[in-house]
Formats: sequence, structure tokens, C-alpha cells
Amino acid sequence: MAKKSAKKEQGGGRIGRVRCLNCFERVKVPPRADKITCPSCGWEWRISWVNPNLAKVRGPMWDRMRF
Amino acid sequence: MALNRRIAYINLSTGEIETKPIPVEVRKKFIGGRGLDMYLLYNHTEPGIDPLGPDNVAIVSAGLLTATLASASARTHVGAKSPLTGAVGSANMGGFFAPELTWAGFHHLVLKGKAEEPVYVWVSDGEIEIRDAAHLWGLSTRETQDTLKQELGEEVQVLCIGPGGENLVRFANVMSGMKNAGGRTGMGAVLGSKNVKAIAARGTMDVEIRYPEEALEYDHEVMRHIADTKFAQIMGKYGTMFIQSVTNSTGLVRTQNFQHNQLLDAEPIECEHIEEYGLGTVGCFGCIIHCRHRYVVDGIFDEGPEYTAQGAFGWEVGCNNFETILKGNHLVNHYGIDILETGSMMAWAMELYEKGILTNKDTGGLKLEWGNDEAVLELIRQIALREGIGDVLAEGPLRAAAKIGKDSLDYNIHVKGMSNLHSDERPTPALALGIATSTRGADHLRSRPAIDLYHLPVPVLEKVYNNPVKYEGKFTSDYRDYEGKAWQVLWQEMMYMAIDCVGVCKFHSIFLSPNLLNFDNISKFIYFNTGLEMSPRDVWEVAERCYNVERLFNIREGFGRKDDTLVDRYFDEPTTRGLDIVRGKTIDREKFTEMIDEYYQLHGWDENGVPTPETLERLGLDKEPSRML
Repeated sequence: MAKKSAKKEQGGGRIGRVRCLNCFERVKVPPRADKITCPSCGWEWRISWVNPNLAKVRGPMWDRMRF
Repeated sequence: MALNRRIAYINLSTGEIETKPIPVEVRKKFIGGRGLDMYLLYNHTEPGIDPLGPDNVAIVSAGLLTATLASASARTHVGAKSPLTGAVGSANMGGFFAPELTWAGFHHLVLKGKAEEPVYVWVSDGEIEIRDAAHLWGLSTRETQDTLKQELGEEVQVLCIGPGGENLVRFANVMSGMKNAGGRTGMGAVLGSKNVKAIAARGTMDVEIRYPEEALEYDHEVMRHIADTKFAQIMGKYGTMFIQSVTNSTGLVRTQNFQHNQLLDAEPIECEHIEEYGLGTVGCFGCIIHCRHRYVVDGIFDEGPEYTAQGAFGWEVGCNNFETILKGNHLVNHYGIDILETGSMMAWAMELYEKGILTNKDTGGLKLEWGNDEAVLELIRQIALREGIGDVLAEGPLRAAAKIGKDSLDYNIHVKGMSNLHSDERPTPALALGIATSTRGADHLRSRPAIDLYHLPVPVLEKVYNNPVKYEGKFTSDYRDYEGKAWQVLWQEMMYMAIDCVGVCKFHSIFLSPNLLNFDNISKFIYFNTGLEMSPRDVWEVAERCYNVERLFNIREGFGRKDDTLVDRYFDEPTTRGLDIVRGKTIDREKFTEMIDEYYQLHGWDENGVPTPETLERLGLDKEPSRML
């Protein structure tokens, strides 16, 4: 399993990436980052880490989301 | 072996108990679990019976693969005519009860009639007894189980009802363990109406595996694959609560009943907060995912919460207090009522209160205001014990609306009289079609193509949804489209029926991940564990047959095309919040009608949603009720 993960990462695969919920672009998350900005559409997302290789979108940055 | 487990008919009125083997021919047609339960329901009830009367049956079952070497083969199914909807009643839960029932020698228990006094049913190594349960009546679900374990032994597994079932709350559930709940359609009320407090099982009868080495090797292969998925890793850490971050961020939840589609300031109820209260996760029989948290809050020890608890006691009722979710989760477990229906009924009552349709006089002074945490917790109690306004809400959407009157029903989010999940399907036609057509009412666990939300590439959708039967139309990656969605809903119906027939958890199937079990895997599991040779296409056909039996039952009870729809709010009120791509959305009536037409045509049903004679003949259902069992 570890071997497979390393291969995925080397190939620019899905490890450490999340999908922007607004435009569906896959976005690389820097290690331990707690927020990202989608390079495609500019939406900002808060990030949490299930494990050191697995990031998830925790929610939007609320200051951009209030109405 | 799994195929030699028996069926028992338990007449509660007379005390007579009859057991029979289940012929292989019946297995090949209905497999077991939910599928065979639906056949039994159709064959052992008369049209138009009172769901809470002695003529209804309550069927409790294990799946064909329960307690075998198939991963997560833990599910218990309960079937009856629903007292909530009058349609198919069907509820499914995890835990350890079904394996114990299997080891005790049985796969299906059919409870008929009504006991004069409270009883429980004791199943042990091929023997069944009806026993006095006067000392159990009035106890909570956990107290009931603790008492029976003290009397019968710690190894005993118990399925029971709580005060909700005793009080005939029309959405009372059945429970086993701390939080395993057969929640939907009011199966707890059916047991309560029969004066059955519990079923206790203990067995030491081995389940012989037909090809043990191959079955074990295959199960290891499947488990390694499952463990490697992103889905399993997140589920193992947060359970279904992980869904909340994504769906709320996007704008796919329904908040304040149905007024908005996103809870602002949802941070306090996100899944990561479980770490402040959690004691770790536990799993069901044979499962490696372990998606259930155990937690302590204010001296309360319980399991959960899940996505439905976050919705029920969080965004639907306008609360963003994680402790309210934990406490509300505990109360519904304690009383034995369906968390989803409870939350939806409370949110509906709050909107009626806001609009002045319900007043302080109706609520006994309880201020049903959005975000009133104390009112939420108090209302759970009132519903379970049928006190005050809770007595009205305990009747479910249609009956409660009839009692409240005015235009109250217009605000209820239901299908066929059953409340919807705390999700908003206005931006997602596929999910909307799924809840509109589901046999047991608004329902996310009978046909929801959840992976439609993932924006998967078309080749991936083709790979998933063209197996084992090919769709001639086109798929689209955009969840806002209408094209190809009718087939996705139908395909998921077959997937969920198949997995419910074998008794494996849906979270191991193609539900929330496209990489999990499909029809090929189920076919292999059946062969290695039981020796039954069923191709993936054969499994599909069984699922189609069973789904059509559910449809036939509903048609017999007067349901039809008029009931396969959504409330007007889906068509008339646009979404107000969320991402740009989901804001301002409604379901398009014309396109929705076209989807229903295609869905019926794909099923082989006529324009009224009735299976055609050709379809019934093809599926071997043209002579139902056939009373084979």
C-alpha cells in the first residue's frame, strides 16, 4: 500500500489533492496547509487532514460566503 | 452452510411456531434479506390491512451472506407494511444481531398476529420461544438489551423497541446495540402494535463455507482494496459526518426545513469536533471500516453521531451546537425513534411556528424557534412519549398535517408520506428522481446515485453504470443535468437491492465511492461462500425481481405515478445559497416528467408506473402471489 501511494505521488496523482467544489478542478494542497485557493476559479477552502497524505475540504472561507 | 438456514413463522396470537427450510429455487429468485422479505410481505398480507393491526406481518431477517466470509455481512433487515406511509415498510441496520440469528439457525422470522401481553421472542440454536416481557415494557432500548443480556447471557444479541415503539410513534425504529437502528418506515411501531418488545438471539451453529480457502482469499483481496480507498480512510476517521463539510459548503443541505440550502456558520458542527468528545470508533460484524464513534458528553455515553444527526439536530433546525447533536442523537437512540424523521418533523413544526400556523397554544408554550437547542431536545422527548405537540408530530407528515390543518402540508418535505433526508435535491435532478420514485418514500438509501456529485469523467460513469447491463443513452458528469440520470437511479436501485439481499453494508458497495463492490464482487462472494452459481447478470435480475415486488406491493396499496413526485417547493422555490453553480436552482417540471417517463420505460413499466405483463413474465412474477414460502 505504501509503495502504491508513493507511486501515485511521484506521478502527480491524487495524494494531497482535493477537488474544488465550485469548478471541480483538482488542487494540490501543500503539506499541513489549512487553507487553499483554487487556481482555476479563485474560491478559497479550509482544509483538514485525515492523515498526512489525505487532505479534505473542510468548508469554504466564510468571509467569502456570507450573504 | 448459509443455504440451510430456516424460516420461522411465529403466530403471536396463538403461540404456534412453524419452521421450514428455504428451498434453493426460492434463493435463486429472491436470494434473501430484503428481497425475500419483500416477497414474504407481498404473499403474507392482504391488501388494505391496518399496518398497526394484527393482520400485518413483521419480518426480521439476515442476508444470504450474513456471518460468512463476505466482508461486512452484518446487516439485519426488518419488513412490514409501513404505518408511516401505508407503502412498503423496510428498514436495515448494522451491528451483530443478524449474524447471531444466523448462528441460531434462522435467516427469516415472520411474526404474525398480536400477543395479548408484552412478549419477547427467544431464538437459540434452532429453538424459538415466546416469553413474557412485562418486566421489559417501558424500558429504553439500551435498558432492554442490558436486562436481557443479564438474564440470558452476555453473548446474546438483542433487537428491540423503545418507548417510541410502545407508544406507536409511526416512525419508531428497531434497535440493536447502542445505535444500530432500523430507522425508517416505522418498523418499531409495528413490533409495538404486536406487543413484541424484543427478539433475542444466541447461536452456536456454524455456518459452513462452501469454498473456505477461496472465500477467505477473496475477502482479503476485497478488504485490501476497500482499505486503500480514500472513502474508507475518511469514513474510518469521521464516519458519515465527513459528508457534511462537502454538502454544506456546496449548498446541498436543506436548512430551516427547506427555506435555505446551506447553514451559515456551520463550523461548530463539522465532523472534526467529534475529536473533543470521541473515545474512538467501532465497527459492525466483519467490517474493517469502523465508522461509528463512541463519545461522552455531559455524562452521556453513546455511539454516533452520523450525518443524519448533524442534519436533524443541526442545520435543519438551525442549530450549530455540536453538543445538541450529540445529546439529540442519544435521545433518539434511547427512545427508539427514527432520527431522520424526527429531525424533519421538528424542522417542519418550526417553520409552521415561524409562519404562525402553530402557536404557543399549540406547542404548550414551547418556543419552536430556529436554533433553540433546548426546544429541540425537549421536542424529541415529547414525540417519543406522545406528549403535547409531540403527539401530533408522532403521526408523521400526512396525519400530522391533517390534524394541524390550514396549509401546513404545503411546507412538509416528504414523498409518499415519509420525510426526506436533510439534503436539498433542487440542484441535483438525479437525486431528486431517486427520492421521488423510491418505494418506501423520500429516501436516500434505496436509489441515490451519490457518486453523481463527484463530477466523475464520463468513461468512469460508463464503466460503473454499464455493468452488468448496458445503458443505450449518454451519461453526463454534471450533476445539474437530466440526461442519463434515470438509468443511474435505476442502476443504484438494483445495486442497493442486491447488497440488501446478501446482507452486506451499503458502505461497501458503489454508494459513496465508485471503487467499491459491484455486481461482479457480489456474484463471487455468493459462489465462494455458498456454492450458488449466480452470474453478475443473475444477481441483477434477482434485484430487479425484488424491486418489482416492492412496486407491486405499493400498487396493490393504491400507490402509482401520482405518488412518484416531489412537493411543489422543489419546482417553485429556487435555492438561495451555496456556490454559484447551485444557487437559484429548481427542478424543471417538464424535464422531470421526461425523466420519470424514461425511468418507467427502462423498468418495463407502463406510463402509470405499473409493471407490464411482459415485464412480470420476464421476471417470473406473473403468478404472484405465488405463496412458494
